[in-house]
Amino acid sequence: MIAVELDQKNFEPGSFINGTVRWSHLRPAESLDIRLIWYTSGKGDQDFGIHSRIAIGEPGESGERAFAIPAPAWPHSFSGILISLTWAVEVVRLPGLDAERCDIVIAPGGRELSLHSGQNDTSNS
Amino acid sequence: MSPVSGKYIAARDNPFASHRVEAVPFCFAEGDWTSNLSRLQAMNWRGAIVGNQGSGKTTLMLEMKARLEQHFSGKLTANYCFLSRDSRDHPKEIKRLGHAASRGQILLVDGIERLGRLRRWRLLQGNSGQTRLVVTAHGPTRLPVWIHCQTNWSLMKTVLQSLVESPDEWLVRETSRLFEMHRGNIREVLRSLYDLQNQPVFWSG
Repeated sequence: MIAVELDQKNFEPGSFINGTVRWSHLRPAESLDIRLIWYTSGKGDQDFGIHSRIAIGEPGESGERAFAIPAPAWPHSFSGILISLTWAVEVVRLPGLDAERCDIVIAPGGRELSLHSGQNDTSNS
Repeated sequence: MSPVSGKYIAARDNPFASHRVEAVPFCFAEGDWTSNLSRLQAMNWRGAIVGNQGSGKTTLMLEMKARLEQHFSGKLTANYCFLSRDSRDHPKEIKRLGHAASRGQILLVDGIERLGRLRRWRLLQGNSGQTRLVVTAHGPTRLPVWIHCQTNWSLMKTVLQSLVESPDEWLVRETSRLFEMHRGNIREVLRSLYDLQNQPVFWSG
């Protein structure tokens, strides 16, 4: 079991993303990777990138670890009709691809940019 | 879900966004995964998935990769290759497939018709015609047909209901119109349904 808990979900670029990862029932050879990722969704093919990562080499069967990752200056979280860009903190159990993900917003004022004309925040949509 | 004006849907929340569409499982006209994989095994893992554009060939092939590994508990693995329209990429892709074939993997070649005749012939005849090979094509190949992908309104409705829990009459009617317009190409229907979000009226519900 892996769980990721964040102090908040809306961040200013350059601020710190603080959180805690808790795990249990890990096998001896398994490790954990905390990643700050971005991904797109919408009409076209999905795109994905890892911005930064923290490796936990020998996590043990269970435990917890606090982390602080600087929020990048760009790109900002945004959403339009054709594409949304979402930031997320992801904890991946290795080897394998089991992951726990928590979507966040990184943008001025902690508010997702809306590309819809005349519309404002879509972060709660 | 019904049309109302003035409400925009973020791309990630569009019910027809690609990540949602790609998660819709393939529906066999006959049998299930177990019976169809058994039939392919009896064909020495050599067969073609044939069908028109937007009939589910790529969906089937991508799901097949995961199912094979699950079905055979990792003892049998597959190597998927989408052949691009740019033939300059083909030598690299063929080389990679050759390595995979030499390791006994099943080659899943999406769009074999994009290969030139000589490369296609070599791929089909590789390892004296014993290479485990499944291809997608729009028409006959030298391989026996494993699955013939065909669309119909019943399948279209099943896909629609996978994406929208309770589609209302308006959405079903629009989907039917688009299904006719795109001549059964489900992929194009879903792309058009996505674009309906850009119209002056939007869905709610």
